[in-house]
Amino acid sequence: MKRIFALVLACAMMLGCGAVSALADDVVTLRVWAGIQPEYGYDTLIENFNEAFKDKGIQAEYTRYVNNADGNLQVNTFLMSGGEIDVLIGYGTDRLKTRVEGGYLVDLTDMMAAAGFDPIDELGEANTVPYTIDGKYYGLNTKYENSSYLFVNVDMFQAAGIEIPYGGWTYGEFREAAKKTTQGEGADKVYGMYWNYNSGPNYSRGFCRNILDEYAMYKNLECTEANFNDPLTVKGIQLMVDTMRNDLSAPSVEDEKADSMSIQTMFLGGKCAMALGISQLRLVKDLATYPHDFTTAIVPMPVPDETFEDKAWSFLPGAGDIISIASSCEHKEAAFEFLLWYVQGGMNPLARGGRIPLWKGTDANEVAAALMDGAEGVFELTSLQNYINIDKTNTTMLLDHPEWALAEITAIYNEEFENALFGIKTAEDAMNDATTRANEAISLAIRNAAN
Amino acid sequence: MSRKITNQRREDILGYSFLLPSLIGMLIFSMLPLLATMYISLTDWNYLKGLGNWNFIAFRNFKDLWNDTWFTASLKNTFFYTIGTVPVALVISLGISILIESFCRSSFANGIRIALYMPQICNIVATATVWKMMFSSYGPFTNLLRSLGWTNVPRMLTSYDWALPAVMLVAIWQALGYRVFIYSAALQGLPSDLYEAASIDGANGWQRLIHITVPQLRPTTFFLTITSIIGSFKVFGLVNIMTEGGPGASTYTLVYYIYKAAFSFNKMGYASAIAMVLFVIMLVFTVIRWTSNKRTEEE
Repeated sequence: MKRIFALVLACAMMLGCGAVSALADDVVTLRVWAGIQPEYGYDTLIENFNEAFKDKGIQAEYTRYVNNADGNLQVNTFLMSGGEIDVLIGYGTDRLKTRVEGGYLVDLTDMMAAAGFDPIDELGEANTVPYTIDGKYYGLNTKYENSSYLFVNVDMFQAAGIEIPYGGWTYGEFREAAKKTTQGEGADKVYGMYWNYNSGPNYSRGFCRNILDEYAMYKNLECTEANFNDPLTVKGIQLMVDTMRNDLSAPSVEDEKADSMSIQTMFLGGKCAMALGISQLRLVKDLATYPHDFTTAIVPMPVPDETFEDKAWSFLPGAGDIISIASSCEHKEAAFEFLLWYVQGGMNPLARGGRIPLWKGTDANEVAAALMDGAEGVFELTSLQNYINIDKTNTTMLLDHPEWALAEITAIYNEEFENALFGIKTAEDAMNDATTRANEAISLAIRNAAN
Repeated sequence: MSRKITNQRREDILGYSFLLPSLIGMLIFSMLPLLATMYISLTDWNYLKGLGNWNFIAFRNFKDLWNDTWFTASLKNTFFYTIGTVPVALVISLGISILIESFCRSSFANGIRIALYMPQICNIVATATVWKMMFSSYGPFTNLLRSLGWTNVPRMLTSYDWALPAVMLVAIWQALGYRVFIYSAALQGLPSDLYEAASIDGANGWQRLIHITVPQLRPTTFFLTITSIIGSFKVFGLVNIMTEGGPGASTYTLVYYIYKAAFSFNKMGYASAIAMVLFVIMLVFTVIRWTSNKRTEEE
């Protein structure tokens, strides 16, 4: 009897295991990777997806990677070896291009056509077509890229008698405001401006040249000649140098790096009146972690002079958070379902951290509510409203052309840019040298490609 | 006779079988990558495009190196780093070892040696991060220099002139313990009769140091010099964490540039060419060490 009982029990256990395994086999779990901490919206997003797709047997789990050079190298390694990433939210068109060249991302063109999803119509031409590679879609921009805005400490501006520049301003007006709001000395000094070069160098590096739109890097669309010595780029760098080294209204790049300054320590710590790096808007709302009692306004970056007024709200790049599917993903259909769900409203919880969806069908009220949630008293609401209502299609970005030696010439630009900020060279000399060096790198890249 | 040969062969086979695991490991993890690097250095391989997706370009990478300002800066910085760290570290560690041996009781001496060795076993990321904080505008190291009367102390890690010396200082501090251990062991092995004879002849402490200790330590110093040179040519971790090669290219070193060329510029072929240059430099020092070892054994 005991033997029969044991046999039945063993069979039941085996059947049970089989049932569990069958159930487990039926559920597809997608591994979603992005560079944002889960508490800034991804936890809710994944929860919503899992709830909405549990009947379809699709679930998702979230992994946060660090969006810096080492973190992206890790992502590339995982994409190469396969098996870790199904859906990737990437940052930066150069990385998208590199990953496509390596064959690590799925061509979404036919899948979107089959699903009746027209990216140009749904996300806007300026946010999609320039991001195609050889006419194909390997990733979709999902949020309005917001790198060209400044945080302004309204209380400090009011104390200095400066009006909030809602509609934009010029380099001259900006420089004066930075001077006026600079106070104190030594460790207690409050600066007018914090360029955020240490924790977000791309913002300031981009600010100086982005006004040139598609000519920000190269003189021509064939990309055979660098354009770093354009007078507008030099003027932008000179503005930074003036605030850092002449007016002393911004911490020098030496101090930024030596003291590991960040938006948290400088802007949220009340040590500056203005700061660049608005993609960290989520931190401003996070009063529990970064308590502060001033109001923050969001204003556009300054332009060289009045003739560039129309550029105030339309610096490039215009879109970001590129969602893609890894070539190694075993459940591409399920991943594509996630992708469409994410783009078409699924990502709305991210708005509370400042990520504004691009999709035309986005419920503006829902996004505004998410962004405004907890913003009263923290943000100056008119400026926040302006920020939400920006025309998200008025941007320029070209990608589908040969960007010769892009990584090298970016490194050359960065190095010479630093030479100017450190005062080793004048802005003009640094950019002339950057152009000469970059042209040499481009010539080598063209020669290598020809062989 | 034949039985003897059989036994000899059996012993040989047994010996080689003991060697086999490490031999296989060396073939797979050292020789194979070395040969692969040699070949890849002759190609234009972008590693993201996958294995085998390359063009053979002969020695073009090696030719291009000499017109590359990053490479020449890296080479110059690496030599400067080596010349700056190796002799200074050896002199300091020899001095500390002599002081420990001369003035400390055994248990206290061991405590000091262990304390000095701690940085060697600490995680390099943690070490570099703490030193970054030490070098900050109001960090302990900067304040120390200020209190010593240096009014306008530069931001060490963000100064074009001071960043590399600052990294070198950390490297010297970090490797001190290992060298002190080696020197202490060598000092304990020096024959005491030489010192006794010198004392009887009226030699003072300084004379004994210069004419007995230093010459007697020559093999140890030579060993430490060569291994330190090889180690300093491989510097990467401190640079990557403390300065990321900056400001500008003022702290680029050969291994850092290999990493940058391979994983930032995706030019694995070019990075392999730099690695081959580094290999040749290291080979020269290794051959010097082998030759010296052989000579010592013969003596």
